[in-house]
Amino acid sequence: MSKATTEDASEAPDRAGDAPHPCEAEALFGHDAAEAEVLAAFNAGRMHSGWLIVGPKGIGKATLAYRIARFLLASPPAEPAGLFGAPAQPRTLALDAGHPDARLIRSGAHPRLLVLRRSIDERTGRLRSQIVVDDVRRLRGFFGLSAADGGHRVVIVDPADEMTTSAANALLKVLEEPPARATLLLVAHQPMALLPTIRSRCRILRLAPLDASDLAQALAAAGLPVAADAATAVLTGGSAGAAVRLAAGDGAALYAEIVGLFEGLPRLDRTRAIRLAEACVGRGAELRYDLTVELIDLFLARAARAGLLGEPATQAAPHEARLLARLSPHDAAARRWALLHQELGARIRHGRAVNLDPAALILDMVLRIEETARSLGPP
Amino acid sequence: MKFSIERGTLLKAVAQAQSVVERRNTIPILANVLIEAEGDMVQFRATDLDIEVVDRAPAKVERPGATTVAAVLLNEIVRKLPDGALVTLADNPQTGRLSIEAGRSHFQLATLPREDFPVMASSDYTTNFAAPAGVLRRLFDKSKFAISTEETRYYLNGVYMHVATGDDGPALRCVATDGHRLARIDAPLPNGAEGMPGVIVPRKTVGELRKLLDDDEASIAVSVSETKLRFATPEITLTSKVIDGTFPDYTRVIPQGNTRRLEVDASEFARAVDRVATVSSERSRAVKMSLDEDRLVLTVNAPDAGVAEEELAVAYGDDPLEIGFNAKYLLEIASQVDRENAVFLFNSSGDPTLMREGNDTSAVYVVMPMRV
Repeated sequence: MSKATTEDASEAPDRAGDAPHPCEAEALFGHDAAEAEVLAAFNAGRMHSGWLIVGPKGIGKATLAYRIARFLLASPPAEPAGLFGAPAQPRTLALDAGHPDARLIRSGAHPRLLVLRRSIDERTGRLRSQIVVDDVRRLRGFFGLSAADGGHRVVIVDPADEMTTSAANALLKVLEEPPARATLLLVAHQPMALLPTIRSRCRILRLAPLDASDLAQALAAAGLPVAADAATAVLTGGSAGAAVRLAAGDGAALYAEIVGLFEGLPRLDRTRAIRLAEACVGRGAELRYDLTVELIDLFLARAARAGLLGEPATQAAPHEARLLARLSPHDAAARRWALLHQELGARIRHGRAVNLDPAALILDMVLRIEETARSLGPP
Repeated sequence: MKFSIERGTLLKAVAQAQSVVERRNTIPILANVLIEAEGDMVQFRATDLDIEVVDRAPAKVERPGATTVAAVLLNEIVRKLPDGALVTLADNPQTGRLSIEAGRSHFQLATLPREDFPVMASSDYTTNFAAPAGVLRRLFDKSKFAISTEETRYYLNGVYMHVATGDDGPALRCVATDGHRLARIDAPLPNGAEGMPGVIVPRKTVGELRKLLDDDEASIAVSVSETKLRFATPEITLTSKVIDGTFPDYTRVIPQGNTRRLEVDASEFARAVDRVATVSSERSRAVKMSLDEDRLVLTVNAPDAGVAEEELAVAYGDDPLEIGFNAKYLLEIASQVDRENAVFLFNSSGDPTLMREGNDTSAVYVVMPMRV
């Protein structure tokens, strides 16, 4: 019934595939500490007006933001303790899904909540690629009028990374002098890329990647038919959003393929390498291309870590541990892999910016890895 | 929910309610009107989250209930139905559709649950009083032209309604200003309005309110709190947020010692200003007033367009004076005068000028001069 679920995907820049919108997700997994921090601030009457919720993509930052928003919007304005003392302090941010405020938030019509996200450009009719200053200027109208029924007002910026510099500056003004009983929740994947002036005015709430069991619970709660085992948690960096993508692109098999290919190091099976690269070419292969690059990147990071910390606790693919131990047996090797990881990361970013051929880019990565493996000497 | 209603009654109620619905709306529920049927009344409620309009109409209710349906669509449908038709609206919880039947026409409209519709709470007002529609209309009509459109000083984007001491005792006062001109309108304080918190009524609300005030004799129930306000007639209730800010101390800018008095027929003056302003450049629109013994010369000198001049016979007995104004401001102020002559009080060519109607101080306007 609710139109929000049938909404055209292009109208909802903050939606990930078939997953429920963060404002619809009731439960949040794995971020109890962050929740407790917010609750403690609220109960102590020291609710900071600007919060920066940071962490990798897809781990529930927006879900937490909406959870905080629901909680704040539903809490009655603080009143002086009456005859029977102050009312009991809340112990959880959870709010019943049938609560009127929760319903209004889901329908997008809560009078005291403003969500800033990328908007539709009226000239082209397409979604903008950034949050522009006009979007942020809506704040002025929002805070310019009274909160008709009293109580808290909440603004969610999802995500703050997508703001243009001028939009960020416009937001800064509100962050500096927020109205009374107003809370701004900024979601950020890469907080260091934000204006330092924004960072310094926000209290930072750092969310850690989900572990395997939290990930499995989050995926199940979102109603997504995605298996979440320990390997998935490793491959996705504990991100439910990434797990959905990984499943869509059959990432676990792809990673096994990559590990299989590298098992031949220091001599690579050229046919196999070319097959891996060619699969990323063409229309419709964008997801596979992205995943291939990300997973090779992940493999290098794991190789570097294995040299320092020894075998990883969890294998993300069959024979992975053995391979990592062989390729990266000591500190010096770890250093080489870490350097390569950094170097290839920069090359990839550059290659994508100038639209290099995906196959060439991936072959280049694979060959560089081979080169490094050779220079480390025979096993 | 199921009820039958006469088409004309329905159209009036729906049209009024849907006028607050924003045309370019991205939130589905806000494009809807909430229909509530109970007893022998039907209510239509629409909102843009800042203003809420509730329209009531008598209807034959068979099954009480409530649902929401697209406001613009409903309005269009009812508008196109034949006059005098009996319209039956019924919702079907199974299909989630609202059926509209009139004669041989039959419509099925998609609905959204009523629980998703934001309703402004109707409690917590600190002051309630009743005022005749004519009085409120004068207060807002005469002041709204001066409302600022500049968004940086958002607290000027409305009419400041508050209780003040006027020249004839306690008054309900409306003030609006954009920093260049100011309007201050007083009305006798209605019973029960004492102690009303001063509120800034947003521009959009002033516009919507105007639709309630056409009938001079009607009594409007006004309710005010620090954060919202409500105007109600038996049929319509308008609830609005107020601007969350402090209105500047306007009393400081109303000149007290202006002694040079000019009296002129307002409509004649307005027409003359309008004529000479024709040649003025779009940007400055400056009109120079040159005053001498019972004589006023209006001059516009636009370097690239030309020159215009007009002389008016006026009552003026002070030293000669030359002063410039924005033509638009002069026109708007002059058009507020409807009964007597306009009286201007000047000090010097650099000081704010005061304008009122005859000797009536219940409506006072201030305008800043321009250098010409």
